[in-house]
Amino acid sequence: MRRFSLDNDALPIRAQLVVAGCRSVVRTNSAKVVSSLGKWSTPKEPTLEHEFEVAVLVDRGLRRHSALPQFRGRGRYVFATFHSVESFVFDLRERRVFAAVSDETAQDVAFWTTVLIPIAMGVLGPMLGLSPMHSACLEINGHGLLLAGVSGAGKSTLATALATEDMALVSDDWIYAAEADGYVTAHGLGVPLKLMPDAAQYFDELRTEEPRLSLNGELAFEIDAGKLRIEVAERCAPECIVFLERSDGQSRIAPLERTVAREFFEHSAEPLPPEFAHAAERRKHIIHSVTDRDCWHFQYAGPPREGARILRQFFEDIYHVERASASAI
Amino acid sequence: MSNAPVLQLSSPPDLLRRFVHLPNELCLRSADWHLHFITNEPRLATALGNTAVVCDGGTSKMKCTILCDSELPPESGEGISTETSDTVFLSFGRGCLITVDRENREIIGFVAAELLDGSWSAVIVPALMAVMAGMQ
Repeated sequence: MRRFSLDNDALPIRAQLVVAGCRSVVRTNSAKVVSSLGKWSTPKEPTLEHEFEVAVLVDRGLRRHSALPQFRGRGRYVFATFHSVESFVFDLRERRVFAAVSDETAQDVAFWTTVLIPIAMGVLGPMLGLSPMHSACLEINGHGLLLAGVSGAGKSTLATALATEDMALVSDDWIYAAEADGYVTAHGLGVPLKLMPDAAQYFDELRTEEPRLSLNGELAFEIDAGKLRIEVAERCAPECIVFLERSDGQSRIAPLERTVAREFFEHSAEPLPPEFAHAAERRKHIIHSVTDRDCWHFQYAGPPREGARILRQFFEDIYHVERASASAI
Repeated sequence: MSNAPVLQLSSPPDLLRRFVHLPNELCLRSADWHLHFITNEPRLATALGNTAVVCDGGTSKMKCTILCDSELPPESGEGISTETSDTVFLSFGRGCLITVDRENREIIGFVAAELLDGSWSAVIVPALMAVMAGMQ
Protein backbone atom coordinates (compact mmCIF):
# COMPACT_ATOMS: atom_id res chain seq x y z
CA MET A 1 0.00 0.00 0.00
CA ARG A 2 1.43 3.35 -1.06
CA ARG A 3 0.57 6.16 1.38
CA PHE A 4 0.41 9.86 0.63
CA SER A 5 -0.16 12.50 3.27
CA LEU A 6 -1.68 15.81 2.23
CA ASP A 7 -1.09 17.68 5.47
CA ASN A 8 0.39 21.16 5.49
CA ASP A 9 3.98 19.99 5.94
CA ALA A 10 3.75 17.72 2.90
CA LEU A 11 2.34 20.50 0.69
CA PRO A 12 4.38 23.61 1.45
CA ILE A 13 3.81 25.51 -1.80
CA ARG A 14 0.81 27.85 -1.87
CA ALA A 15 -0.89 29.69 -4.71
CA GLN A 16 -4.10 31.60 -5.12
CA LEU A 17 -6.48 31.27 -8.01
CA VAL A 18 -9.63 33.00 -9.10
CA VAL A 19 -11.84 30.73 -11.18
CA ALA A 20 -15.27 31.89 -12.41
CA GLY A 21 -15.15 34.62 -9.79
CA CYS A 22 -14.38 32.17 -6.95
CA ARG A 23 -11.20 32.38 -4.93
CA SER A 24 -9.23 29.23 -4.36
CA VAL A 25 -6.05 28.29 -2.56
CA VAL A 26 -3.80 25.61 -4.00
CA ARG A 27 -1.54 23.58 -1.71
CA THR A 28 1.04 21.39 -3.37
CA ASN A 29 4.59 20.08 -3.20
CA SER A 30 5.32 20.90 -6.83
CA ALA A 31 5.74 24.25 -8.56
CA LYS A 32 4.71 22.45 -11.75
CA VAL A 33 1.11 22.25 -10.51
CA VAL A 34 1.09 25.97 -9.77
CA SER A 35 2.56 26.68 -13.17
CA SER A 36 -0.03 24.49 -14.89
CA LEU A 37 -2.80 26.41 -13.14
CA GLY A 38 -1.15 29.74 -13.97
CA LYS A 39 -4.03 30.81 -16.18
CA TRP A 40 -6.10 31.49 -13.05
CA SER A 41 -3.39 32.58 -10.64
CA THR A 42 -3.63 35.88 -8.80
CA PRO A 43 -1.02 37.76 -6.79
CA LYS A 44 -0.64 36.23 -3.37
CA GLU A 45 -2.64 37.99 -0.70
CA PRO A 46 -2.31 36.03 2.52
CA THR A 47 -5.41 37.56 4.10
CA LEU A 48 -7.70 36.74 1.21
CA GLU A 49 -10.34 34.21 2.24
CA HIS A 50 -10.69 31.34 -0.16
CA GLU A 51 -13.89 29.69 -1.26
CA PHE A 52 -12.44 26.33 -2.18
CA GLU A 53 -9.19 24.46 -1.75
CA VAL A 54 -7.15 22.31 -4.10
CA ALA A 55 -4.56 20.03 -2.44
CA VAL A 56 -2.31 18.11 -4.79
CA LEU A 57 0.63 15.92 -3.94
CA VAL A 58 2.95 15.06 -6.81
CA ASP A 59 4.74 11.73 -6.51
CA ARG A 60 7.48 10.85 -8.98
CA GLY A 61 6.84 7.17 -8.40
CA LEU A 62 3.35 7.31 -9.90
CA ARG A 63 3.22 6.34 -13.56
CA ARG A 64 0.14 7.29 -15.44
CA HIS A 65 -1.40 5.19 -18.20
CA SER A 66 -3.93 5.89 -20.88
CA ALA A 67 -7.41 5.08 -19.55
CA LEU A 68 -10.84 6.62 -19.79
CA PRO A 69 -11.73 8.68 -16.73
CA GLN A 70 -14.52 7.55 -14.48
CA PHE A 71 -16.69 9.42 -12.01
CA ARG A 72 -18.63 8.27 -8.97
CA GLY A 73 -20.27 10.08 -6.10
CA ARG A 74 -22.18 9.53 -2.90
CA GLY A 75 -23.08 11.92 -0.12
CA ARG A 76 -20.49 14.65 0.28
CA TYR A 77 -17.89 12.97 -1.95
CA VAL A 78 -17.33 12.73 -5.67
CA PHE A 79 -14.46 10.60 -6.98
CA ALA A 80 -12.79 11.01 -10.35
CA THR A 81 -10.07 8.70 -11.61
CA PHE A 82 -7.72 9.64 -14.43
CA HIS A 83 -4.83 7.89 -16.14
CA SER A 84 -5.59 4.67 -14.25
CA VAL A 85 -3.64 5.58 -11.09
CA GLU A 86 -4.70 9.12 -10.27
CA SER A 87 -7.81 9.76 -8.20
CA PHE A 88 -9.29 13.12 -7.29
CA VAL A 89 -11.67 13.40 -4.36
CA PHE A 90 -14.10 16.30 -4.35
CA ASP A 91 -15.47 17.02 -0.89
CA LEU A 92 -18.64 19.04 -1.36
CA ARG A 93 -19.15 19.84 2.29
CA GLU A 94 -15.62 21.13 2.87
CA ARG A 95 -15.40 22.61 -0.65
CA ARG A 96 -12.07 21.09 -1.46
CA VAL A 97 -10.38 18.80 -3.96
CA PHE A 98 -7.49 16.54 -3.09
CA ALA A 99 -5.36 14.16 -5.09
CA ALA A 100 -2.02 12.48 -5.59
CA VAL A 101 -0.78 12.72 -9.18
CA SER A 102 2.19 11.79 -11.32
CA ASP A 103 4.90 14.23 -12.33
CA GLU A 104 3.67 13.96 -15.91
CA THR A 105 0.19 15.10 -14.92
CA ALA A 106 1.58 17.89 -12.74
CA GLN A 107 2.99 19.56 -15.82
CA ASP A 108 0.16 18.66 -18.17
CA VAL A 109 -1.36 22.14 -18.61
CA ALA A 110 -4.15 20.85 -20.84
CA PHE A 111 -5.27 18.42 -18.14
CA TRP A 112 -5.62 21.12 -15.50
CA THR A 113 -7.17 23.77 -17.71
CA THR A 114 -9.50 21.72 -19.87
CA VAL A 115 -10.32 18.76 -17.64
CA LEU A 116 -9.75 19.17 -13.93
CA ILE A 117 -10.81 22.78 -13.35
CA PRO A 118 -14.00 22.51 -15.45
CA ILE A 119 -14.91 19.31 -13.61
CA ALA A 120 -14.14 20.93 -10.26
CA MET A 121 -16.39 23.88 -11.04
CA GLY A 122 -19.13 21.57 -12.27
CA VAL A 123 -18.98 19.48 -9.09
CA LEU A 124 -18.27 22.18 -6.51
CA GLY A 125 -19.99 25.07 -8.31
CA PRO A 126 -23.35 24.74 -6.53
CA MET A 127 -21.50 24.78 -3.19
CA LEU A 128 -19.82 28.03 -4.22
CA GLY A 129 -22.97 29.88 -5.24
CA LEU A 130 -22.49 29.10 -8.92
CA SER A 131 -25.00 27.45 -11.16
CA PRO A 132 -23.36 25.41 -13.91
CA MET A 133 -25.66 25.71 -16.93
CA HIS A 134 -25.38 23.78 -20.16
CA SER A 135 -25.24 26.68 -22.53
CA ALA A 136 -22.92 28.41 -24.95
CA CYS A 137 -22.39 32.11 -24.40
CA LEU A 138 -21.26 35.04 -26.53
CA GLU A 139 -20.98 38.71 -25.83
CA ILE A 140 -20.59 42.13 -27.32
CA ASN A 141 -19.36 44.91 -25.06
CA GLY A 142 -20.34 42.92 -21.98
CA HIS A 143 -23.86 42.15 -23.24
CA GLY A 144 -24.33 38.42 -23.31
CA LEU A 145 -26.33 36.00 -25.39
CA LEU A 146 -26.81 32.47 -24.06
CA LEU A 147 -27.33 29.65 -26.53
CA ALA A 148 -29.03 26.62 -25.05
CA GLY A 149 -30.50 23.43 -26.42
CA VAL A 150 -30.30 19.70 -26.15
CA SER A 151 -27.11 17.88 -27.16
CA GLY A 152 -26.86 17.88 -30.93
CA ALA A 153 -28.83 21.12 -31.37
CA GLY A 154 -25.71 22.78 -32.72
CA LYS A 155 -24.73 25.10 -29.87
CA SER A 156 -20.99 24.85 -30.40
CA THR A 157 -21.13 25.14 -34.17
CA LEU A 158 -23.44 28.15 -34.07
CA ALA A 159 -21.42 29.71 -31.24
CA THR A 160 -18.27 29.33 -33.35
CA ALA A 161 -20.02 30.90 -36.33
CA LEU A 162 -21.28 33.78 -34.14
CA ALA A 163 -17.80 34.29 -32.79
CA THR A 164 -16.59 34.78 -36.34
CA GLU A 165 -19.41 37.37 -36.70
CA ASP A 166 -17.63 39.82 -34.44
CA MET A 167 -18.92 38.47 -31.11
CA ALA A 168 -16.58 37.35 -28.33
CA LEU A 169 -16.88 33.78 -27.08
CA VAL A 170 -17.41 33.22 -23.36
CA SER A 171 -18.10 29.49 -23.70
CA ASP A 172 -19.27 27.03 -26.32
CA ASP A 173 -20.65 24.48 -23.86
CA TRP A 174 -21.01 25.38 -20.16
CA ILE A 175 -21.35 28.61 -18.28
CA TYR A 176 -21.14 29.14 -14.54
CA ALA A 177 -23.79 31.66 -13.55
CA ALA A 178 -23.52 33.75 -10.41
CA GLU A 179 -25.77 36.35 -8.90
CA ALA A 180 -24.79 39.19 -6.60
CA ASP A 181 -26.87 42.21 -5.65
CA GLY A 182 -29.42 41.35 -8.29
CA TYR A 183 -26.86 41.19 -11.11
CA VAL A 184 -26.30 37.98 -12.99
CA THR A 185 -22.90 37.13 -14.43
CA ALA A 186 -22.14 34.27 -16.79
CA HIS A 187 -18.56 33.04 -16.41
CA GLY A 188 -16.66 30.92 -18.90
CA LEU A 189 -13.46 28.97 -18.33
CA GLY A 190 -11.78 29.55 -21.67
CA VAL A 191 -11.61 25.88 -22.53
CA PRO A 192 -11.09 24.80 -26.16
CA LEU A 193 -14.07 24.62 -28.45
CA LYS A 194 -15.48 21.18 -29.00
CA LEU A 195 -16.83 20.69 -32.50
CA MET A 196 -18.23 17.59 -34.13
CA PRO A 197 -16.32 16.21 -37.15
CA ASP A 198 -18.91 17.57 -39.61
CA ALA A 199 -17.98 21.12 -38.54
CA ALA A 200 -14.93 20.82 -40.81
CA GLN A 201 -17.17 21.57 -43.79
CA TYR A 202 -18.02 24.99 -42.34
CA PHE A 203 -14.72 26.16 -40.86
CA ASP A 204 -11.63 25.97 -43.07
CA GLU A 205 -9.29 26.10 -40.08
CA LEU A 206 -10.49 22.63 -39.02
CA ARG A 207 -9.34 20.96 -42.22
CA THR A 208 -5.80 20.70 -40.96
CA GLU A 209 -6.92 19.39 -37.56
CA GLU A 210 -7.69 15.84 -36.55
CA PRO A 211 -10.74 14.98 -34.43
CA ARG A 212 -9.91 12.90 -31.37
CA LEU A 213 -11.69 11.07 -28.60
CA SER A 214 -12.95 13.54 -26.04
CA LEU A 215 -13.61 12.99 -22.34
CA ASN A 216 -17.06 11.51 -22.92
CA GLY A 217 -15.82 9.18 -25.65
CA GLU A 218 -17.14 11.27 -28.56
CA LEU A 219 -14.98 11.90 -31.60
CA ALA A 220 -14.60 15.68 -31.85
CA PHE A 221 -12.29 18.55 -32.69
CA GLU A 222 -10.99 20.26 -29.57
CA ILE A 223 -9.47 23.47 -30.74
CA ASP A 224 -8.29 26.66 -29.08
CA ALA A 225 -10.33 29.73 -29.96
CA GLY A 226 -7.14 31.46 -31.03
CA LYS A 227 -6.65 29.01 -33.88
CA LEU A 228 -10.01 30.08 -35.24
CA ARG A 229 -9.06 33.74 -34.66
CA ILE A 230 -11.93 34.01 -32.18
CA GLU A 231 -11.89 36.60 -29.43
CA VAL A 232 -12.52 35.18 -25.95
CA ALA A 233 -14.22 36.95 -23.04
CA GLU A 234 -14.14 35.69 -19.45
CA ARG A 235 -17.65 36.78 -18.48
CA CYS A 236 -20.67 38.82 -19.42
CA ALA A 237 -24.08 39.93 -18.24
CA PRO A 238 -26.65 37.83 -20.11
CA GLU A 239 -29.32 39.83 -21.93
CA CYS A 240 -31.25 36.90 -23.32
CA ILE A 241 -31.33 33.15 -23.80
CA VAL A 242 -31.84 31.60 -27.20
CA PHE A 243 -32.92 27.97 -27.35
CA LEU A 244 -31.76 26.30 -30.53
CA GLU A 245 -33.58 23.75 -32.56
CA ARG A 246 -32.64 22.47 -35.99
CA SER A 247 -35.32 22.97 -38.59
CA ASP A 248 -35.87 21.58 -42.06
CA GLY A 249 -37.96 24.59 -42.99
CA GLN A 250 -37.25 28.28 -42.63
CA SER A 251 -35.27 29.87 -39.84
CA ARG A 252 -37.41 31.80 -37.39
CA ILE A 253 -37.16 33.31 -33.94
CA ALA A 254 -40.13 33.39 -31.58
CA PRO A 255 -40.59 34.32 -27.90
CA LEU A 256 -40.37 31.45 -25.44
CA GLU A 257 -42.16 31.30 -22.09
CA ARG A 258 -39.76 31.79 -19.18
CA THR A 259 -41.37 28.87 -17.37
CA VAL A 260 -40.40 26.61 -20.27
CA ALA A 261 -36.81 27.88 -20.13
CA ARG A 262 -36.68 27.37 -16.36
CA GLU A 263 -38.00 23.87 -16.67
CA PHE A 264 -35.33 23.09 -19.27
CA PHE A 265 -32.43 24.19 -17.04
CA GLU A 266 -33.87 22.78 -13.82
CA HIS A 267 -34.53 19.49 -15.51
CA SER A 268 -30.98 19.25 -16.85
CA ALA A 269 -29.30 20.16 -13.54
CA GLU A 270 -27.71 17.19 -11.86
CA PRO A 271 -29.59 16.23 -8.69
CA LEU A 272 -27.69 16.85 -5.45
CA PRO A 273 -27.82 14.70 -2.31
CA PRO A 274 -30.46 15.78 0.23
CA GLU A 275 -27.87 17.18 2.65
CA PHE A 276 -27.08 19.85 0.06
CA ALA A 277 -30.66 21.04 -0.37
CA HIS A 278 -29.56 24.61 0.40
CA ALA A 279 -27.11 24.53 -2.52
CA ALA A 280 -29.77 23.05 -4.81
CA GLU A 281 -32.15 25.82 -3.76
CA ARG A 282 -29.53 28.48 -4.42
CA ARG A 283 -28.83 26.95 -7.83
CA LYS A 284 -32.54 27.03 -8.61
CA HIS A 285 -32.71 30.68 -7.59
CA ILE A 286 -29.84 31.53 -9.96
CA ILE A 287 -31.55 29.63 -12.78
CA HIS A 288 -34.67 31.71 -12.16
CA SER A 289 -32.64 34.90 -12.21
CA VAL A 290 -30.95 33.92 -15.48
CA THR A 291 -34.26 32.97 -17.07
CA ASP A 292 -35.76 36.30 -16.01
CA ARG A 293 -34.01 37.52 -19.15
CA ASP A 294 -35.82 37.41 -22.46
CA CYS A 295 -36.11 33.88 -23.76
CA TRP A 296 -36.29 33.04 -27.45
CA HIS A 297 -36.80 29.95 -29.52
CA PHE A 298 -34.62 29.84 -32.63
CA GLN A 299 -35.48 27.25 -35.21
CA TYR A 300 -32.72 27.44 -37.71
CA ALA A 301 -32.10 25.89 -41.06
CA GLY A 302 -29.17 26.05 -43.40
CA PRO A 303 -25.48 26.38 -42.67
CA PRO A 304 -24.31 27.72 -39.30
CA ARG A 305 -22.92 30.93 -40.76
CA GLU A 306 -26.38 31.77 -42.08
CA GLY A 307 -27.95 31.03 -38.68
CA ALA A 308 -25.25 33.15 -37.04
CA ARG A 309 -25.93 36.05 -39.39
CA ILE A 310 -29.65 35.97 -38.56
CA LEU A 311 -29.07 35.70 -34.83
CA ARG A 312 -26.36 38.34 -34.80
CA GLN A 313 -28.66 40.81 -36.56
CA PHE A 314 -31.55 39.93 -34.24
CA PHE A 315 -29.41 40.51 -31.15
CA GLU A 316 -28.21 43.84 -32.47
CA ASP A 317 -31.71 45.00 -33.42
CA ILE A 318 -33.43 43.99 -30.18
CA TYR A 319 -30.73 44.90 -27.69
CA HIS A 320 -29.05 47.75 -29.57
CA VAL A 321 -25.59 46.36 -28.98
CA GLU A 322 -22.79 46.42 -31.46
CA ARG A 323 -19.08 46.05 -31.37
CA ALA A 324 -17.25 49.31 -30.86
CA SER A 325 -15.39 50.07 -34.07
CA ALA A 326 -11.64 50.20 -34.10
CA SER A 327 -11.69 53.93 -34.79
CA ALA A 328 -13.95 54.55 -31.77
CA ILE A 329 -11.46 52.76 -29.54
CA MET B 1 -54.36 24.42 -28.97
CA SER B 2 -51.36 26.61 -28.10
CA ASN B 3 -48.67 27.26 -30.69
CA ALA B 4 -46.19 28.32 -27.99
CA PRO B 5 -42.80 26.67 -28.49
CA VAL B 6 -41.96 23.75 -26.27
CA LEU B 7 -38.52 22.34 -25.58
CA GLN B 8 -37.31 18.81 -25.60
CA LEU B 9 -36.32 17.93 -22.02
CA SER B 10 -33.59 15.52 -21.07
CA SER B 11 -32.85 14.53 -17.51
CA PRO B 12 -29.20 14.00 -16.66
CA PRO B 13 -28.42 10.34 -16.14
CA ASP B 14 -27.09 9.42 -12.71
CA LEU B 15 -23.55 9.24 -14.07
CA LEU B 16 -22.05 9.41 -10.61
CA ARG B 17 -24.36 6.61 -9.40
CA ARG B 18 -25.20 8.81 -6.45
CA PHE B 19 -28.74 7.59 -6.18
CA VAL B 20 -28.37 3.84 -6.60
CA HIS B 21 -30.85 2.11 -4.33
CA LEU B 22 -29.19 0.29 -1.43
CA PRO B 23 -31.76 -2.11 -0.04
CA ASN B 24 -29.51 -4.29 2.12
CA GLU B 25 -28.74 -3.10 5.63
CA LEU B 26 -26.99 -4.92 8.42
CA CYS B 27 -25.76 -3.97 11.83
CA LEU B 28 -22.54 -5.89 12.50
CA ARG B 29 -20.31 -6.20 15.51
CA SER B 30 -16.72 -7.36 15.40
CA ALA B 31 -14.29 -7.29 18.28
CA ASP B 32 -13.99 -3.52 18.25
CA TRP B 33 -16.71 -2.16 16.08
CA HIS B 34 -20.40 -1.75 15.66
CA LEU B 35 -20.88 -1.26 11.97
CA HIS B 36 -24.00 -0.11 10.18
CA PHE B 37 -23.45 -1.72 6.79
CA ILE B 38 -25.44 -0.69 3.72
CA THR B 39 -25.09 -2.17 0.25
CA ASN B 40 -26.86 -2.94 -2.99
CA GLU B 41 -25.24 -6.38 -3.14
CA PRO B 42 -27.03 -9.04 -1.10
CA ARG B 43 -24.09 -11.47 -1.45
CA LEU B 44 -21.86 -8.99 0.33
CA ALA B 45 -24.30 -8.51 3.15
CA THR B 46 -24.68 -12.26 3.50
CA ALA B 47 -20.91 -12.84 3.49
CA LEU B 48 -20.38 -10.22 6.16
CA GLY B 49 -23.27 -11.54 8.16
CA ASN B 50 -21.52 -14.92 8.21
CA THR B 51 -18.23 -13.55 9.46
CA ALA B 52 -19.41 -11.09 12.09
CA VAL B 53 -22.05 -11.06 14.73
CA VAL B 54 -25.27 -9.46 13.63
CA CYS B 55 -26.30 -6.93 16.24
CA ASP B 56 -29.78 -6.84 17.63
CA GLY B 57 -30.10 -3.08 17.27
CA GLY B 58 -28.25 -0.47 19.25
CA THR B 59 -26.23 2.46 18.08
CA SER B 60 -23.76 1.91 15.27
CA LYS B 61 -20.39 3.42 15.80
CA MET B 62 -19.56 3.44 12.14
CA LYS B 63 -21.55 3.61 8.94
CA CYS B 64 -20.27 1.77 5.89
CA THR B 65 -21.87 2.14 2.46
CA ILE B 66 -20.48 -0.09 -0.27
CA LEU B 67 -21.86 -0.01 -3.78
CA CYS B 68 -21.24 -3.02 -5.95
CA ASP B 69 -20.68 -1.37 -9.32
CA SER B 70 -21.00 -3.51 -12.43
CA GLU B 71 -19.75 -0.67 -14.63
CA LEU B 72 -16.42 -0.21 -12.90
CA PRO B 73 -13.55 -2.03 -14.62
CA PRO B 74 -12.47 -5.19 -12.79
CA GLU B 75 -8.98 -3.84 -12.17
CA SER B 76 -7.45 -4.16 -8.74
CA GLY B 77 -4.12 -2.38 -8.98
CA GLU B 78 -1.71 -1.31 -6.29
CA GLY B 79 -3.36 0.10 -3.20
CA ILE B 80 -2.95 3.85 -2.81
CA SER B 81 -3.94 5.70 0.33
CA THR B 82 -4.29 9.48 0.16
CA GLU B 83 -4.81 11.07 3.55
CA THR B 84 -5.94 14.48 4.75
CA SER B 85 -6.44 15.43 8.38
CA ASP B 86 -9.96 13.98 8.43
CA THR B 87 -10.31 11.78 5.36
CA VAL B 88 -8.55 8.73 3.93
CA PHE B 89 -9.11 7.83 0.32
CA LEU B 90 -8.21 4.30 -0.72
CA SER B 91 -8.00 3.14 -4.29
CA PHE B 92 -7.05 -0.24 -5.68
CA GLY B 93 -6.71 0.30 -9.40
CA ARG B 94 -9.78 1.65 -11.12
CA GLY B 95 -12.05 -1.01 -9.71
CA CYS B 96 -12.19 0.05 -6.10
CA LEU B 97 -12.62 3.56 -4.70
CA ILE B 98 -13.26 3.99 -0.99
CA THR B 99 -13.24 6.99 1.27
CA VAL B 100 -13.09 6.89 5.04
CA ASP B 101 -14.42 9.96 6.80
CA ARG B 102 -12.59 9.71 10.10
CA GLU B 103 -14.36 12.65 11.66
CA ASN B 104 -17.86 11.33 11.02
CA ARG B 105 -16.88 7.66 11.12
CA GLU B 106 -18.30 6.88 7.76
CA ILE B 107 -17.03 4.72 4.90
CA ILE B 108 -18.30 5.13 1.35
CA GLY B 109 -17.04 2.90 -1.42
CA PHE B 110 -17.57 1.74 -4.98
CA VAL B 111 -16.27 -1.70 -5.81
CA ALA B 112 -16.33 -3.46 -9.18
CA ALA B 113 -18.64 -6.44 -9.03
CA GLU B 114 -15.86 -8.76 -10.19
CA LEU B 115 -13.64 -7.79 -7.24
CA LEU B 116 -16.11 -8.73 -4.56
CA ASP B 117 -15.25 -12.42 -4.63
CA GLY B 118 -11.46 -12.28 -4.42
CA SER B 119 -9.89 -8.91 -3.72
CA TRP B 120 -12.63 -7.77 -1.40
CA SER B 121 -11.82 -10.10 1.45
CA ALA B 122 -8.13 -10.64 0.64
CA VAL B 123 -7.01 -7.05 0.11
CA ILE B 124 -9.70 -4.43 0.51
CA VAL B 125 -11.23 -5.38 3.85
CA PRO B 126 -7.82 -5.75 5.57
CA ALA B 127 -6.84 -2.29 4.31
CA LEU B 128 -10.10 -0.86 5.59
CA MET B 129 -9.64 -2.56 8.95
CA ALA B 130 -6.17 -1.02 9.20
CA VAL B 131 -7.61 2.44 8.62
CA MET B 132 -10.38 1.81 11.14
CA ALA B 133 -7.88 0.54 13.70
CA GLY B 134 -6.02 3.84 13.38
CA MET B 135 -9.21 5.69 14.27
CA GLN B 136 -9.65 4.21 17.73
